[in-house]
Amino acid sequence: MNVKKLTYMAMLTAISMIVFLIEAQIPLPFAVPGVKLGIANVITLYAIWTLGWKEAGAILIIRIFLGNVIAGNVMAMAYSLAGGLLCWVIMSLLKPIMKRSQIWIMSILGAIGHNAGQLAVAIAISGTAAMAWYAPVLLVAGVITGAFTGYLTQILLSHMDKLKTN
Amino acid sequence: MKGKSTKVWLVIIALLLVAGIAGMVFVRSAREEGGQVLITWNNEIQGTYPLGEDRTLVYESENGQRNVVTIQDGMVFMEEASCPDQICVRKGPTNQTADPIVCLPNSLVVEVQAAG
Repeated sequence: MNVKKLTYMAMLTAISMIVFLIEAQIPLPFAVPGVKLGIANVITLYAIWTLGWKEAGAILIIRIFLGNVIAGNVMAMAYSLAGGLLCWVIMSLLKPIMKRSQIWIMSILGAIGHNAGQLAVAIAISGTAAMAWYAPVLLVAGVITGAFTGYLTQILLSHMDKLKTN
Repeated sequence: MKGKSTKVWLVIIALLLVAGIAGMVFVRSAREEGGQVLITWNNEIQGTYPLGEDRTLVYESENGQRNVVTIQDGMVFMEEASCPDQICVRKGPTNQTADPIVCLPNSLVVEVQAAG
C-alpha cells in the first residue's frame, strides 16, 4: 500500500466519521427504531467503487468503531456492526455485476441488508421478538434511504470525474 | 452489457417495496386494544402490568442507562430515556398490541398484550 492510497483511505474514513457524527445529531421526523438516512454509507459505496471491497471494509469498521466511541454510544456498536457489515457484504457481492448507473440499486439492496442485520441483533439482544413488528417498515425505509444514498454516490462520482480531468 | 439490466432490478425492488407496504398494512390490521404491558430489559422479562392501573416503572443500570415507563389512563408510554435518539420517547403513548415501544440503545422493549 503506497502513501497516496493510505492518505486517501484515511481521508475517506475521516469524512465518513464526520458525516456519521453529524447525522446522529439530526432527529428524523418519524419515530421508528433503527431507521436513519445512513449518509455515511455514501462513503462505503464510493470506496467499494473506487478502491475495492477490502479497503471499503477497513474504512467502514474504523468508522463504526471510532464513530460510536466518540459519540459515547458503545451500546449502538453491535447494531452498527451487524447492519454495516451485512450492507457491505451485499454491496461488495453485487459490485461486479453492476454498472455505475446502477449504484442506487446496489445501495437499496445494501440498505435492506443493513436494516435486516440490525433487526436480527435487536431481537437477539432484547430477548423478545416484538421488534419484528417493525420489519415491514424497515424494509420500506431501506428502499427509500438506499435509493437516496445510492443516488448521492452517483452524483459524487460524476463530480469527482470533473476534478480528475486536470 | 454487465449483469442484469436495470429493468430486472426495478422489478425486484418494486416487489420488495410492495411486500414491505403489504407488511405494514398487515401489522396495522393486527393491532387491537390490549389489556396488559410486558416489559423486557436486557434479555430478561421484568414483569407484566395491567394497563388499567397507573404506575411508573424505573429501569436503571450501573453504567448510567435509565428508562422511565409510565402507565396512565389506560395507555403506556416512555416518559424518559437516557438514549441519544429518544425515538422511544417520541413515539408517544399506546394501548395497542403489535405496536411495541422499543428503546434500542438500552435494549428495553414495552409490549402491549391482550389481557391475560
